[in-house]
Amino acid sequence: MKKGGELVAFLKFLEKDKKKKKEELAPPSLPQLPPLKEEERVLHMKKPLPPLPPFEAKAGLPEKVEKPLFEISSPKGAPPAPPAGPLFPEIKEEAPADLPAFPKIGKKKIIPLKVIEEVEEEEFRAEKKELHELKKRLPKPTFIEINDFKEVLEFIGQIRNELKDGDAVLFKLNEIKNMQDKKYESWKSVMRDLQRKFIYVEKTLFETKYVR
Amino acid sequence: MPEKEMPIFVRIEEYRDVLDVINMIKHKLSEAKEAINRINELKNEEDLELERWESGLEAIERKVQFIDKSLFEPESV
Repeated sequence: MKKGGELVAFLKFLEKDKKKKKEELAPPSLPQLPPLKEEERVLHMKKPLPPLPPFEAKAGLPEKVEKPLFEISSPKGAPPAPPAGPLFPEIKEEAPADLPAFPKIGKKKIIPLKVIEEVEEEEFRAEKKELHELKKRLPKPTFIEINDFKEVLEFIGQIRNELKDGDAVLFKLNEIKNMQDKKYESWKSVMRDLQRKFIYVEKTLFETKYVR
Repeated sequence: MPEKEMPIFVRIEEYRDVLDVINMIKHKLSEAKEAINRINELKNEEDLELERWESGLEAIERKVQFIDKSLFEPESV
């Protein structure tokens, strides 16, 4: 408790110190400016700008001088450079005579639309025929007549219900078995306890035999 | 033709599948029957053991009674 009190007192002392520092660092208040006279205010607001000089198109602008992109300066004492030749070789306008001739294209044969339709139809018929033959080769589905179909369905429903009941019976049997296991365990512990007690009784009786 | 007398046909492939499944069900049923028989046998064995234990407990009870009588009624103090 005492330690806590000391700590609080120290914190308060720190806070006081902080306040003092803040007061020291605050800027001093500035003196108020004297109010402007009416004439000075108007002068400040509506002072006219001086007039611009007249524009002359070519006055002052230097003439355009074309300069090379790169200035190459040769080192002192070096021999003069040979005269520059053409950058690219000249290309002859005429094509060489030994080019192979273009293959000749004959006139395109135009097939009439009616003929195309007939061919397509013929192909379609052939495919249909092929499919039909394939279907013929496939084995046909065979059916079997069932006389007591409804009864069979009813029996299946009944069997399903009986199986559900069997599930419930199994669950109950499992519960009984678990209970039986518990009982066997308690019986086992009772038997062990009985054994211990008989050993004790036997021991006690055996010792008393030699008292006389 | 009335609806009851109408013949019902089943596709032979499906019929064969159903026959296969029924054979499987029969096999499972025989397995379940065997399991129940074995459980019955075990239960009978259990009953027999319980009877033996019961008779053993009765014998112990008789002997304890005799010991009790002998210890609490001594011939000479």
